[in-house]
Amino acid sequence: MDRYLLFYKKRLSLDKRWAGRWDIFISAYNSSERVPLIFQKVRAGEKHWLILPEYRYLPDEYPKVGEAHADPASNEIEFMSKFLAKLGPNLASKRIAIDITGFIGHYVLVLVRLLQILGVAECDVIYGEPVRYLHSERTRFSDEAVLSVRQVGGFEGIHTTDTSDDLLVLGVGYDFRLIAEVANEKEHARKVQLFGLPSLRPDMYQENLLRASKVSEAVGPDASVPQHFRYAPAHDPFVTASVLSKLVREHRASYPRANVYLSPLSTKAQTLGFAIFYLAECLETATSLVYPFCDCYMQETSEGLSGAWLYHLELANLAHHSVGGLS
Amino acid sequence: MADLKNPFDLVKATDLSDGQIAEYFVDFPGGASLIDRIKPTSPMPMFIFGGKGSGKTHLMRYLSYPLQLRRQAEPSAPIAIANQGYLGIYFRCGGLNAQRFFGKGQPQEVWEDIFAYYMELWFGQLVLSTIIDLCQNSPTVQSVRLISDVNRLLDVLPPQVPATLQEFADHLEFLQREADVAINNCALTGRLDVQIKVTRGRLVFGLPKTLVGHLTEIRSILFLYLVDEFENLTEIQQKYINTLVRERQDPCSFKVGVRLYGLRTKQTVNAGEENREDSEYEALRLDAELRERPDAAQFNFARDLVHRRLLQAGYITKSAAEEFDVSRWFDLGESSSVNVDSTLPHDRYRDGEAPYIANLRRKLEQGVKTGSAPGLKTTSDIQQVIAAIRLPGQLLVERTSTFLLYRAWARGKNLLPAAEAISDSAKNYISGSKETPHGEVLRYFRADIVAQLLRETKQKQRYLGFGTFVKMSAGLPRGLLTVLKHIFMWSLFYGEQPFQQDRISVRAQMDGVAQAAEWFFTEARAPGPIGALVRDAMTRLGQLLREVRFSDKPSECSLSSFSANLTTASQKAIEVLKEAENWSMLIRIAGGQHDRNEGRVDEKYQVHPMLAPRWDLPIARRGALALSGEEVTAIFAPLEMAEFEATLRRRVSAMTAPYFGQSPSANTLLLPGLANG
Repeated sequence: MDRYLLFYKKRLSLDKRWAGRWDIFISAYNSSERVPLIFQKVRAGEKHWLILPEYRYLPDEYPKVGEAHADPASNEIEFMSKFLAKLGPNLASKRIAIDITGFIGHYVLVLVRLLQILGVAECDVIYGEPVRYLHSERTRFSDEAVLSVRQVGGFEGIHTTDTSDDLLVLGVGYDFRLIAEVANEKEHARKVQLFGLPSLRPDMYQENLLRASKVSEAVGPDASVPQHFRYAPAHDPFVTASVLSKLVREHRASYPRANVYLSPLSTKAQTLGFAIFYLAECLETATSLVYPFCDCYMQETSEGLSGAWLYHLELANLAHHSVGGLS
Repeated sequence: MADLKNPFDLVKATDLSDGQIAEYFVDFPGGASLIDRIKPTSPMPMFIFGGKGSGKTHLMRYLSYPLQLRRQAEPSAPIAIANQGYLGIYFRCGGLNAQRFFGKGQPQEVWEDIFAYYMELWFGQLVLSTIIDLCQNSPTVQSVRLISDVNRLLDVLPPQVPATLQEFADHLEFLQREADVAINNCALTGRLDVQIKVTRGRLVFGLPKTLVGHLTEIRSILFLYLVDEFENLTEIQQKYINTLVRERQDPCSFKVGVRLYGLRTKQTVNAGEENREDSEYEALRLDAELRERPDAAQFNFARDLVHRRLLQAGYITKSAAEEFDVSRWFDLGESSSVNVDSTLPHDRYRDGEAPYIANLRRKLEQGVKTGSAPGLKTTSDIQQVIAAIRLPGQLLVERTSTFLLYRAWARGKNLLPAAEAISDSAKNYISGSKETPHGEVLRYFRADIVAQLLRETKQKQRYLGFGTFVKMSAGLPRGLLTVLKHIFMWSLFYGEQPFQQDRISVRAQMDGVAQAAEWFFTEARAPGPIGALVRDAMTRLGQLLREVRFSDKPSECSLSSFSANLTTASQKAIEVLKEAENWSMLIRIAGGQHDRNEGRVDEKYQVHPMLAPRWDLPIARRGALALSGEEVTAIFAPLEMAEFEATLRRRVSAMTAPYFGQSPSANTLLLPGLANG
């Protein structure tokens, strides 16, 4: 059986009080309704807000409840390292919950990686689903002014000189400009698009397709080849990791020396799935996570909270099982 | 029908297999060849500049070893390559993920050293994998002396000394991997544990030198490093490559492919040392090179490009390719610039007034009211003018008469005799005399008057025919292929069988062109905030040129260009303008434009013809709108939108009846009829 599918997840009831209680709860503040709603519902000894600089909140806009952290930093690793240092030395012994709903993708990746390095064996991750995105398929999540497309710290792979069979896996979200930027950056790579299906809400898959159709030029001929589409539930990081695992293994079976690039641009739950797959199978292989870094992200992108998931992340059990490729 | 293969599906060289690179490659004939311009056997390094889609990658891959092998007739690969005189070693800088070599708490000098070391390992592996493949049957490649000399290139030998070239290559890969892990971990640990085991240049230059010293089959060969996507390197990293270019050693040379904006520095790692064009390197500007060739040569090049695609996709046979005329497959709808009149909706306006006549009447009435219509006082005067201008069933001539009347009006002429003279000119023109005001205007403004007619009769502008698409691409083969790709898709959508049974319809061409223009506008832009500024600026520029083109009395014909006095423009505006040029949204016209009044030579730019359909601009370039520095600022970097709107209003109102830039009150002071010029 697929080992990713053994990980525990459950749907949290919005009507009832949530059963869990944690030592530390971490969330990233933004103005989408679902983020503060989850913050209220979670019971924890300490509750922390990360004020991600890309949201451009002013100090007087910081949330009043919970401890806000807005340390200046030159990059995502420095930001997250500074924050984790403030949580004290015995993080590995604490029960930790993270709501990734308000996070920006690369911060999810880095936080998970750093927790693993710090010896945190397990933690809970929460993700809140919206009732709808503010402007349906036209919702923008960033200012789309991409400063650079680069590898995410901690997820930089090794590299091979033969780039002729490189693969780029795009986790496809609504921000089609971002997808285009990544596709253009890795123009030479074969491209596979990973869609969220089932989507968070029934209409969101269609909205996603509409947006994705706008990047067909950047994605190139692969955009119209059904074999280059993959699907994983938009809310499920474990199935996402499983689909990625199968896909990358297939590619590596044919092209063992290929460089593989993964770019999670869809839901935060899928982004978590990319991180899980990477930490389980890709460390020190020719696999990298690439991300389009924007100047600014939108503070509010969705309405309501339609449901929430809890994923139990067993970081210690993400034993490194390489997918091959110069491992 | 729908399963017809689109022969233009693959438009990027990065998407092509080696076989397709070979099959789709076309060149200019004889001494005009691009390969001759690139001179692959010359030891002089070269930078190949080009916009996105100008064909850099295709050319460089064509010169690379796998493609060289495909071209050989000689059964012995080493002899075949030796006959070609060079060994092309291609790599993409994008594959280095160069931004890893930056920050992470390490000083810049450390990264400079690490990057140089990493590149030694990278170049070394590329050379070895090529040579191992090329000389696989050569007994010398296994010689102890060769491997011994190769091992000496390393400063630190591994405990298990490599005994073959393959083992040496494996060792380089191991060292590179070691470096990769250390570089990556540095982000998390803040430590960079890399021991540099090769002195700078030892593998890049030393390895080829050692190999040709031993392998007699290739002893006179040039190792040609084909460094593509140079724009993906940071300034520091470019300095390193610039240093290699400057300190080039035999038997090596470089061809460096770079976007127009991509050369961040000409400096080397040695302080104060800068590479100079034609001294340390030559430059080839690929899109200009393609664009500035004679029209016939450009057309033939494009035709050959398309023939190759059609041949590969099975639409034509090799024997038929010579006779195949691609132009004939595009329906022009009898709307060539000569014959446009026959496609205009004459019937619709035979009894009633065409919209431009109604518009003229309205403006004349407004002019009479405010005393701004020289010579006209009454409704009857207006009727007389309109009657002189009208020519039912001859839309183009009638519209030209309107144009001439606006021109007379703007010059302050009495409109009654002017209208009569125009009427005579129209009749003479129809009866065959071209030496009339109509003939003269149509010589220069025909395309603009047709464009105005199309717009006024609610028809889309027409960008039709293969020749038009070639001109639209303006030195970017990918532009041409993208236009054709979209046209083919629309043609299928409309149930046609392009290149099989049916000529491609006008509507398929129009829809395809519009889509390609949108693609170009979206894709050809800088990343980050400057990209948004360029897009906004281009939108304003396009709006201004369009409004001028469709004004009552446009100052210039075929307006797609402007000249600019940059000495008084803001720095920000100049930055945005240059960025638009770098991303091929604007084409800089060599030689600039002489300012008529002050004798100054201003910069001159054309909106890239791929963008012309977006703003209904012409593909051709004739007139240029002269912009002051302040106007350049208002278009390219206005502090507020009102600044641009004021410029737009001022420019367009000077070309618009009834006031032509004068205030109504100023005109009321004139005595009607006395302004007869």
